[in-house]
Amino acid sequence: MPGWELRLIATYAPALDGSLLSQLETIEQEKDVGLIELPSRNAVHSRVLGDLFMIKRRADTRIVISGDCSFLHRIAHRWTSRSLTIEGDVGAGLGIQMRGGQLDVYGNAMDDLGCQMRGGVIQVKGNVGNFLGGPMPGRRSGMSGGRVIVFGNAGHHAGYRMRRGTVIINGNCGVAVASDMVAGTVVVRGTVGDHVAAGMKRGTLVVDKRTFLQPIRFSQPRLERLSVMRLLESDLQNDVPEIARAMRFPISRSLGDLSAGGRGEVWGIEHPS
Amino acid sequence: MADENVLSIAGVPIEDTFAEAFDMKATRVIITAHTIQWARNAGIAFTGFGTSVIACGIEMAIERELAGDETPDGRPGVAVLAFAVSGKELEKQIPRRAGQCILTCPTTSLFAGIEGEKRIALGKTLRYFGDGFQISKVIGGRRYWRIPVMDGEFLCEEDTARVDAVGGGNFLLLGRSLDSVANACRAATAAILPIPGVITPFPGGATRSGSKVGSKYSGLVASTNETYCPTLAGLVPQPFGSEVKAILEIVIDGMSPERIAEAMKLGINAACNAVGSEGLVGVTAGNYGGKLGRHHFHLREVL
Repeated sequence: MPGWELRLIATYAPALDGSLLSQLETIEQEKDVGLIELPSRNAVHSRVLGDLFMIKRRADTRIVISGDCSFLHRIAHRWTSRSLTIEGDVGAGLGIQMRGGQLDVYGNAMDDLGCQMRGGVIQVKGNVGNFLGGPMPGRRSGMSGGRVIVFGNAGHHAGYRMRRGTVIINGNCGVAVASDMVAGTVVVRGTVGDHVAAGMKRGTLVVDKRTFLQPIRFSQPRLERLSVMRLLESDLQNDVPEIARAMRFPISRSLGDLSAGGRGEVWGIEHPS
Repeated sequence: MADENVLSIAGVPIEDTFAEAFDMKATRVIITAHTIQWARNAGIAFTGFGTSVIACGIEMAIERELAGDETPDGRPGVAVLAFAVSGKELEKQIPRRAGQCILTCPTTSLFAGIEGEKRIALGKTLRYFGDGFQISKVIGGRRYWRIPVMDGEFLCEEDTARVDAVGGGNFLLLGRSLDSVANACRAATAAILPIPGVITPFPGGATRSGSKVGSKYSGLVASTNETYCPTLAGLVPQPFGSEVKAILEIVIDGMSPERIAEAMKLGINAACNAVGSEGLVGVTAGNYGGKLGRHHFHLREVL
């Protein structure tokens, strides 16, 4: 499969649906790339890719988009296997229902990143908006697989209704992180807002013990040293080495959300440096 | 025996015959624990009553001990190899044994020790012991089950793989005395122990009850091989002289024919060099005329 380089040349564009950009995974002809449709909500402002981007075939198999693409939403919708690099900001719904492959964003991403994703890896070097790894509007289940690594901050409701997979937030995050979480792992290195893990059913939230107040909806924390922590340590070693190191020590573990009959767990890391 | 064409090691003649081995299904699991003692205890219990498929349904043994940097959770452990005649039998034996011998052992965890497409349940079955309080965790693409127990959690991987393997490689040491053949056996099993991917499932790595197929009693699938019982000399025809006082057999199961051949070579060499012709009258191998197993390990080719 050929690699593509897309350089943004338009100075202004209305909000467009970029979900058809996923055709880049399979398209072989350069002329076909330019014809990928980018519909707008009212159809009046719809564009094709060639209107907005300078398109070039790359020598390798990577797909690279450069420029401020914050007007483009739902990029990499149902992405399956290829590597996509975006050098700039992206709109909402990046990697929505993604199934595999890797997305690297050297910029910020708006809401609904990794919404209902099922596999693959998303790395965002900047900040992300609300509902990271959550469900699509009107759906019950959030992301059910894959891995999201945010190097900046995340907005509210990160990991909302998440069912599986791993979310790592290197910065701070807003209110209600891991709320209504069903399973999976959310790791926050920075501070967390109020309503932590509200309505959590199962799953694991790893936070800095110093930065959040133990909610009364959770059991009294106990210092524990479990085998699974060693597994998570090696899993997190590359992405958040400080937190991985902290897993060698006993961890303050509390269960809940008891008010929702939940059996999730919040791990308060003792020594993240 | 003085014939120049006869292969001998340290003066011990090697009979021109072959060991007959069979296709089997195998799996490998890793047991870790807080200390190597607990891991060893679990491994010994797990592999108990696993000497022969004839009545145990499975042949298994500790392959080797593992340091912390060789295990998934960084704790010391043991690797166990298990062999059975069918995948179905493995699927039956492994979860039952794991449930009674590893889950019950303090501080242990259980992990898959081999990759492959066909799977055998571990935590997939054992998780029900958690009675609803078990927790599933997918880490690095692998599913683990965390089952609450009295010392914390029993961590167990969802399943392990099963692969094709070979079982029943063997050689027989014909001894001038029980002492000498026992010493030769010790030397052979010690030489085989470091080889990865092979086990000697019998107690101490050797067996005295070499068997033949069938019996005069209906319903018995195997019975003593009177041809190789020195106490029956004169009563039944035997392929060795009166100087043979005791015979012991080393049975080897391996992940591949090459591994078994290597183990046979090292084992026979070690046994012969340990006691020499003063201890051993000869080395031979067990077979069924080549009719039952498709893997034939000719002693002279192996050596």
